[in-house]
Amino acid sequence: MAFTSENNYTDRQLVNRVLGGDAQAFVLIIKSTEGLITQIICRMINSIEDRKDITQDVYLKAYNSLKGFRYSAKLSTWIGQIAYNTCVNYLEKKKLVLPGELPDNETSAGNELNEIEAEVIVTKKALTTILAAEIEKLSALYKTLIVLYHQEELSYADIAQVTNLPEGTVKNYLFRARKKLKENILAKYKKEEL
Amino acid sequence: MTDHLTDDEIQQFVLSKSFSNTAAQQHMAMCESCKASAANYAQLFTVIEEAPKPLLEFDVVNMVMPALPKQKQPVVPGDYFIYGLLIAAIGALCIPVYLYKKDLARLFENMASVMIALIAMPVIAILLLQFYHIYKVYKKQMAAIK
Repeated sequence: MAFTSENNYTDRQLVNRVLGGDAQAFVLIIKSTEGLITQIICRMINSIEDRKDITQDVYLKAYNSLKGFRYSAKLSTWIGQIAYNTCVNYLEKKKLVLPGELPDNETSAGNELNEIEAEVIVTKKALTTILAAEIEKLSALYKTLIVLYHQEELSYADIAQVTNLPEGTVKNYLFRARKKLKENILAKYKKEEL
Repeated sequence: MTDHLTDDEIQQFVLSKSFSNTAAQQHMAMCESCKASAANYAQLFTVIEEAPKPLLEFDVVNMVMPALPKQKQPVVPGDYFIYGLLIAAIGALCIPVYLYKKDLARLFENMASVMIALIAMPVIAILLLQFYHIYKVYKKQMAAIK
């Protein structure tokens, strides 16, 4: 299958140009994948200095491994996978919370909130402000899954490829992440109302 | 009224705008609580989609490109032609020297070595300078073509 990047070149054309010594083609690859890679790195890594090293590391790995790219996935998904794995390795090395773990305590506020949901009309402006803070409170994995699906519009299959998780697990984690996000926002809103 | 829809069912409904079974559809039509939950999810998804995306604090292209390992420049067909021409020229110079080496030796045997050096050194220097100049012009033209 021929995947086309935002710059109208197919992945195969871009890869062949880079392998043929055209460094400028790699600039096109960076530009077309930058958004996705930024999402993954920013959601998983808090330190700005480390983000810089990791971003460079991701693209150097991609450049050096380009020969081994087999076109079974989109180039952006493949580089996304490199970014995700690099972030996981970083978190493991720093002994930080691993994305594989699910640290968010599943709250039991669900039933209680159902009763108030009908009454609560959260304004969009307030929700945007609360949302940004609440997304940051989610685990690295939940955060990443949410933005990959809702902001980067990746399919479940693509997300599964990036995160090396089975598709069913991705769906399941996404349901839980959204539920948790909704509950936290409603709880926060309710608290502020009081 | 049937049991409330599960959270997963409500999310799935908001994402796909359809129900997998009619019982769930009928429940949603009647249940205010499930409707409110669906409305909240719909609002949440819209806000997430419209939320500003993060930006890196540095220019990725400017940071990555200079760090890339230098690739070996592939030899283009034009280069092969130039190398071939150079070898042919050296060969063309060496063959008569080899064939007429005795005559050449005789030609210089009566000349003082100082004299030979005085002639040879400027000739070699001029040739080297010429060669360097030609090479520089060639490089400049190739860079302009690229």
